[in-house]
Amino acid sequence: MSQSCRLDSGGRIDRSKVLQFTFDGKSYTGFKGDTLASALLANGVKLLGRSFKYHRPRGLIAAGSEEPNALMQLENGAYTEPNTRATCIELYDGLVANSQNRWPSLGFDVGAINSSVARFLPAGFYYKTFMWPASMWMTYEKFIRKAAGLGVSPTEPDPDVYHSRYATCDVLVIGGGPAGLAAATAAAGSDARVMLIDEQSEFGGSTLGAAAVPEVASWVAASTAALAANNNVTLLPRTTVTGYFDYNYLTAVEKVTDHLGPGNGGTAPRQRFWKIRASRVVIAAGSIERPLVFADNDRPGIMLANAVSTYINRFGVLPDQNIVVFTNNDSAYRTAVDAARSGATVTMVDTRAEVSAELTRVLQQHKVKQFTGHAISSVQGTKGVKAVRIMPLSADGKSLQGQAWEINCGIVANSGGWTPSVHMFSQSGGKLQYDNSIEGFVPDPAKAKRINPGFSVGACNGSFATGDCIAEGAQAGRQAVEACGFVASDVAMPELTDALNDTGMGGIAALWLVPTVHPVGEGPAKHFHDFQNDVTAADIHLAAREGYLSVEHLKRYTTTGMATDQGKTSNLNALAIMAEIRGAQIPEVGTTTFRPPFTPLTFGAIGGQESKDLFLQERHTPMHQCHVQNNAVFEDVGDWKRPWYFPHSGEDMHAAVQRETLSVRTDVGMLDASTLGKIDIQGADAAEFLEMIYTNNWKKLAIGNCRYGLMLNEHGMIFDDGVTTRLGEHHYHMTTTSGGAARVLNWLEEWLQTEWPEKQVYCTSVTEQWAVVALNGPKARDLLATLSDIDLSKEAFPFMSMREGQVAGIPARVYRISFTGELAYEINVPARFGRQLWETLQEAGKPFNLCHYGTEAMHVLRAEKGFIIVGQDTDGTVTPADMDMDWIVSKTKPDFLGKRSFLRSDTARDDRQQLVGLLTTDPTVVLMEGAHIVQEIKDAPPMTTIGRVTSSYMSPNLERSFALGMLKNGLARKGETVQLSLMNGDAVEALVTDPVFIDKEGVRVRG
Amino acid sequence: MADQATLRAGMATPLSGQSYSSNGITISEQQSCDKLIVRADFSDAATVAALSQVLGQTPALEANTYSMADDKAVYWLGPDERLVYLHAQTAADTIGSVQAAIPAGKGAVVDVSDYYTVIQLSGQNARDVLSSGTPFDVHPRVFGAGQCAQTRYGSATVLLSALDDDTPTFNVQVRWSFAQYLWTYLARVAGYC
Repeated sequence: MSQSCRLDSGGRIDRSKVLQFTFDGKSYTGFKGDTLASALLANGVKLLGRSFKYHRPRGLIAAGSEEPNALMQLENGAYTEPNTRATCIELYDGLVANSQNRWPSLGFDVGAINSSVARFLPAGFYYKTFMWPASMWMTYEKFIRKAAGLGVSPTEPDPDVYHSRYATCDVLVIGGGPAGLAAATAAAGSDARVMLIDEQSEFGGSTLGAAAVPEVASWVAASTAALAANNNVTLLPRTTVTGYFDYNYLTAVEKVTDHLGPGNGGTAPRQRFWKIRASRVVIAAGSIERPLVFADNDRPGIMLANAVSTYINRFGVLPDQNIVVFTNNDSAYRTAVDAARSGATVTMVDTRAEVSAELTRVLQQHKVKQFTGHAISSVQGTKGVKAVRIMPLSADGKSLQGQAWEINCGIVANSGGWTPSVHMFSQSGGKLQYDNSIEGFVPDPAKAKRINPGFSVGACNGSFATGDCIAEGAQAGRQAVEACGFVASDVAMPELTDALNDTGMGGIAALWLVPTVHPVGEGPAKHFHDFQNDVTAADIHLAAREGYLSVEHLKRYTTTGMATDQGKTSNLNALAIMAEIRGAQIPEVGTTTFRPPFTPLTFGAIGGQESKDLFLQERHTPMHQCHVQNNAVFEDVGDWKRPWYFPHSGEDMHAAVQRETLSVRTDVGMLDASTLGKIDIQGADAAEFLEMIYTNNWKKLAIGNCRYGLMLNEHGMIFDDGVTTRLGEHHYHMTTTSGGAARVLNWLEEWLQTEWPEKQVYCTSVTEQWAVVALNGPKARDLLATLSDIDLSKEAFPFMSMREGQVAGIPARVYRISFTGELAYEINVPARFGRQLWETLQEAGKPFNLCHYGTEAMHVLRAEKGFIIVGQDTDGTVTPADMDMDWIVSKTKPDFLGKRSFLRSDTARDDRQQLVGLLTTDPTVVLMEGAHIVQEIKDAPPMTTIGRVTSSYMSPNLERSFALGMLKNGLARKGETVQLSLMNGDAVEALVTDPVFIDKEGVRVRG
Repeated sequence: MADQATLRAGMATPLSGQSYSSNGITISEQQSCDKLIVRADFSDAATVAALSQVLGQTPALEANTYSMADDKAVYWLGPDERLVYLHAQTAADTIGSVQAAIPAGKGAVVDVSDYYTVIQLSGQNARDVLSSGTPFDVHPRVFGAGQCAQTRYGSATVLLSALDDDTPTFNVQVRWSFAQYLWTYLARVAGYC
């Protein structure tokens, strides 16, 4: 029974290429050119899944990306992907698909009980039942999510690679049907850069699924070939425009190798994410057929009419020998003819009493029985349609009365009209207007957003006839490319003679809700308008009764249009039914917003290549390889990889840090300080500039001397700190914190460019020009003396000065500054020599017990001296006075940034939180950074917080733990004991001390 | 004291001059050269004349272009900022004469020789490789030989310059610390383009 529903000939499939695949563990075959949907249908498989809420059996509805039902769990293991639409999966050999929303099996599903108890699961059920009490939602949610099903995500890392890229073009055309091809053709030809994007595997749009019209087919082929041959044209098939953002910025996902099957793409990425900036956009996105809302219209086998045509014409699949076509418009007559031509017994049921004589004649010609003014009143069959019952409609369309007929059939091809795909226009900010002649919303060209210049053409503009599509597309392509300053090309028109196939939707008489013999919601049947979220016409009535009349309320109350298909087939039906209930016109009900993405997309594609090692940029110093060789454990500091500590074999972090910390105070250690921000400042007004930027005085700093400075923001709060050295008359070298380098340069430039443009000051970042090694420890001078020609005596080279000379034969600037309180030299050499300097010092340091130390030991060492780290001990609410650093704030300067804020009463009060040292009563307890100092310990929070721990370490030099912290009125509380409440509930007692724990007199640093 | 030969042997570049080819695209770290940032009033004819004398060319005056003559190239970075590549001299030998061409206190000359390295990207798909990381439009119509642009590539700040339109060739100047990241990025996407 292989491919029992496959026609003997026809279709855009390659019958010589047989492909094996499995669905729910059963093997099938299909052909190259099939989708998973068409291949399943060819094998007579109509039951493809269970619905989201009621677990009703469901089958295919559509043939395109609007499919709401046929969601598949594609592939296994790391490659598995949930919620893929069978209609969008190109068949490949070995494909494995499984149905979703069913347990234990598709045929017998426990959740289907929901359907029987539907009376107790009305719209808003979840909303009303589970949102109160709010605290219980987390409990309910797990159960509901499991019961609701949908697919499962893989637990393994994604084995695929993705690529994202930017593109710029003059004219972007969305949609490769007749309108889009015409637009692209008109726009191409001169030098204009044109992009044409279509979600299908080949161009041609709706014509691919229509009965062959040779003139149209050859026009499509010729147009596509000409565009493909043009170097200025980028053709992107298998690509979906997912979002349309401001200033004609659009995103698209190209499925590069999905159609080859997992792991078969070679080195090519699985998908490519396009970020496109277009001067003009032509939207030719087509339209989507919408279903009629009738009793039990969700049974497997009830499909959109054009989908049935597509399966017949494009894939050579006649899904059943007995087909009922049910319509309120002319377009479904094509399906009746397509099916009849393929050998099916076809019955046409048209809700309209009056139908054109020509359509009736065509049906007669193909021996199709026609009922006009009739409607389907019920559907027989649960896991598949077996028959339908039809009855005459009353003149007002509100009821059924008269003779009923039962017609055996396996397929109902139905059409409720065509909804223009206005998603892109709406996303671009354009407003819609209702077109009564086509019963649908179309773009209002007068209400397009000016920042997104473009045009909507063809079916998405409400123009369904092939000739109109091509003419509109050509016109828009011409206007678009001329607006970019290029010459348009002529577009040849195909000969259009096939009235049935080229006239689009034709006439329509809307019937939004097909009545049954019972009032809506009262009989056993359900009228679905939203298949994926299982929302029925009765739910809309309920929403209206409960006062959820606005479209936004309706959507949230019933969840209509909220599933992964975003209501592509359901939204207009829902609006129209609500309009009827309210006695309003459809435009009065309005529409909800169309949001990106147009169809679901993978996060992998959005991330593109920027995952794993490219997720976050790593910055390396010139000595990075040395650190790797020295077994460094790295810490992320901003984007920098800095050595955190250098464990010897068998050492844990604690042991390594204690050793390094001790070693610096007893012998000498070296630190890679290259990451410090460095800014070269020159110009006649440089000193005056520094006077404004820093709180202290700079004019009298002698050439060759260094000074520590604090920068404040406008609020008077500490913003950055560092040492700045005067290199020449109008020349300074500023250092900043590692993480603050870019922020400080921006800050300097902002003041120079916006407030003081007349000042002669020139700032240049030189951070990475210099590799910096900080030598710290009592033996630093002795070690450096073995490598340098600089006079290192304390008279010739005192603390806080800079000397130039050679170190290890390398031209160097040596700054005698210290972040440890020890005798220290920061050796700066051009980056190219960084590694050489490091290795030379390493070798020369052996007799001096030189150790490498990392950022953690650096933190301990500086904290022992009470040196703050901006951003750790400060948090943007700390003034110099809070840090007990009044000494650095000039009392004589007329102004500096932040000065005025000291006049604020809150900044000036003396009981602010202030920097103190903390020594726990138990010297082995290392406080957690962030721990609260509380007024009094209570059994449980809340307790009144009067301060917090900002830095806390174990010190081998103090042989005990110690901490820095901010304490309310702390400067006046030294000597007192305070209580700390830890997160684990413990209470700890600590003595408030001075924050300088070692060498308070500064003897070592000046030694 | 190390002699000059030992010094030179110890010199490093962030990418050790490596080269890589994939999909017809070649990326290679260029031989290093010394570089100077020059800040001056380029609207002042006397200053431009003096600088032209020192640099052997009228330094690029049009925004986002570069000028080249003999052994130096000058990149426009901003109205009062240029970047000079010294292909034959050292920064130390040149800095004094450039400083002398600018009125005292009214500009700056800064040695940034080691701040940056240059990765050259060449091949028919080189523009696709660039477009994989930068939103900047690199089509030859808007970014042809002789033009330069400061933009980003991935998360790295770069200076792009277009060298050749026929065999698309670009120089990508990047900070030392970002060089390895940028290299990995370029090599990765070269395989996708």
